[in-house]
Amino acid sequence: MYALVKQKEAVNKWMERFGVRFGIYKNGNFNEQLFPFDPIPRIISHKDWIDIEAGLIQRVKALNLFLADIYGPKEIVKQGIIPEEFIYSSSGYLAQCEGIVPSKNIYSHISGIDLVQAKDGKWIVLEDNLRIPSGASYPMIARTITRKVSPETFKENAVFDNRSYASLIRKAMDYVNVENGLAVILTPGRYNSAYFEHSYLAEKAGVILAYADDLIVENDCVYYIGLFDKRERVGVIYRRISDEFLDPMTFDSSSMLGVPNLMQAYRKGNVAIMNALGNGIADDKGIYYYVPKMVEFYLGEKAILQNAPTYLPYYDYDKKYVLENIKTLVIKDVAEAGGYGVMFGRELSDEKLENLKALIEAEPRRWIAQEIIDFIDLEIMEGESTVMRKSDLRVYVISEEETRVWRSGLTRYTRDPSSFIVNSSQGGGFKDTWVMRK
Amino acid sequence: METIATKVITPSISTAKANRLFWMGRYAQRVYQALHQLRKHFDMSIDVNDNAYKEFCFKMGIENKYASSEDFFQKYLFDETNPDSVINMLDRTKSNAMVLREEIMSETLSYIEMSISHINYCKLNCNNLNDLQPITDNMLAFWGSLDERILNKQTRHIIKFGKHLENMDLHIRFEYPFSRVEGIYKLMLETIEKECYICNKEILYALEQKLTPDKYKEPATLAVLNSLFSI
Repeated sequence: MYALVKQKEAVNKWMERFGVRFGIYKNGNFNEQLFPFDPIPRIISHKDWIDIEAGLIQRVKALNLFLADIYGPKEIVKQGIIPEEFIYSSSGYLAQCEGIVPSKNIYSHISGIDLVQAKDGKWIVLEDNLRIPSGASYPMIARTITRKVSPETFKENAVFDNRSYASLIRKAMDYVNVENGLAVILTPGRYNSAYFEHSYLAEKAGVILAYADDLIVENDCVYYIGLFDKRERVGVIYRRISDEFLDPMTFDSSSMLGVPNLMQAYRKGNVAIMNALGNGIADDKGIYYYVPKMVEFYLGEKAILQNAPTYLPYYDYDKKYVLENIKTLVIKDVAEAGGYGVMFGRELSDEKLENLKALIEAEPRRWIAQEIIDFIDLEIMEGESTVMRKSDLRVYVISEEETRVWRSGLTRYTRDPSSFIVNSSQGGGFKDTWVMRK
Repeated sequence: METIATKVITPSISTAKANRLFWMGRYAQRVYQALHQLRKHFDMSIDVNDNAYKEFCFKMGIENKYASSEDFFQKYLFDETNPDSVINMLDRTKSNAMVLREEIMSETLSYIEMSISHINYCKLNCNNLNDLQPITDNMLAFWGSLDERILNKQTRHIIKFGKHLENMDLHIRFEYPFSRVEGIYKLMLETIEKECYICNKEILYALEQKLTPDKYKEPATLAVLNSLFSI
């Protein structure tokens, strides 16, 4: 691995050459910057991986069953496992998706599950991302580059190859494709923060990168408009656009990014959309609390991977605990994402704590509270020396005929020594994730 | 408006993509040719004609808003606020190319990325036109990579249509001999005839009438040439 670290400059040159960038909006301006890459990989032992893999497959299967249940019979609500209002008050729940059965009954084709490793070595799930989890292309291209610049590193270390991610995506697209139509990745365009990923995955998966104007819905089917108005049926859309912007006729009518009447084609089963619309209900921060219960309810098994200890102020006994111990907890606004709306009680002034308590009293459903996990620091290169920084791991689970876990992941780290927030949209960097073959 | 043909369309190319492919080809060729002509005119400015840059501006059809030869070389190369500058040409090439990654492949796009990195480096660190040679090398590698990697004929021909059209335009502007211009025209014609279908048939006919040794340098020839692309 030392050989790889020595090649840091060469790796960065290749990153620049391939335009590996991440877009950030700051003060209303869009800036593209190179996504900082740290050459020291996160290493996951084979033994750890076996547990992670089994736990994630179990978790994602349960989440897919939950989505099918919520937009169908709602047994989990009827049996009192999850309170009804947790479903209907969630911004991720879409009434427009009621009764829709997606192609092959798969809702979350690509699930990005965020994990951290506690200091006792235990892996803990922090968050489920079932809408448009991004980031897989970065470790994929990083591996392509690091294998070029330091082949000896991979001769000496038995690491699972991670360059098959695009093939896994393509396989999932082909599996749900309706009527063997065209496979497209629908992008909002180059000013999206993850545009690099959209275009890179389209290239590597061998599918079409489409913009809203390239697609049209006619007779409840989706068509790609080629030159001279030639139309070809689209069978599957891997959309990189949020639900609310996907169809202006059903959701936000001002959206210029979506395809009018797409929902109609989807409802009729004439096109597969991955991930399915309405998945936001399953990755709601409040619903997260119930995932281990879902595993038991749908699969009759104990959850292999545990959540961080979480409290729902919705329940009076949890609220009492949260209000009494707020200084030692991390409080999250369930409506926020991307590292925003996360407050550490210990960092807030007395006045701010009182305000927060009042907000929790007024809208208990809006908040969750978690014990702060003292997760492990990873070594990061800073100049010629190394420093320790907080990091997390996003692992990608692909659901098609089988549910598989991509043997790699995006390790994000904070560059701020005092921060626990590793989100790339807040300026963090990334590492490759090595899953060991033995 | 009539197009030459409308058959054998690869469905993966939308109108917007075809437009970008064409303009990517034009801008990439403009970068290459502009640097080539700059070298020639810079050479003249050393000891033959200190005002060679004025001739360059005139032939290129751009406004001479420069105070001196030095001012010209600095601003024409590196000034992002100057719409005529080489750095801007590269940016426009990239703007078109980066949304075509799945068509042209990352390896091809990388030559544009490297050219942009290099011109940004030179802006701060170089004072000799010779230091920009890697950009010329990258542009040649870009064309080679396109030839090597793009198997979709329609995609190739649309890009090459843009490249040859730009090349022909600049060869006429810089008064190359007719035989050279005619040679480029024949190359361009090949792209149009081979599954490209994005030019106006009547304008092509009008262009053919203009391509004679005595008429090809007329401004009207350039006007016809530049209205040939049609989708």
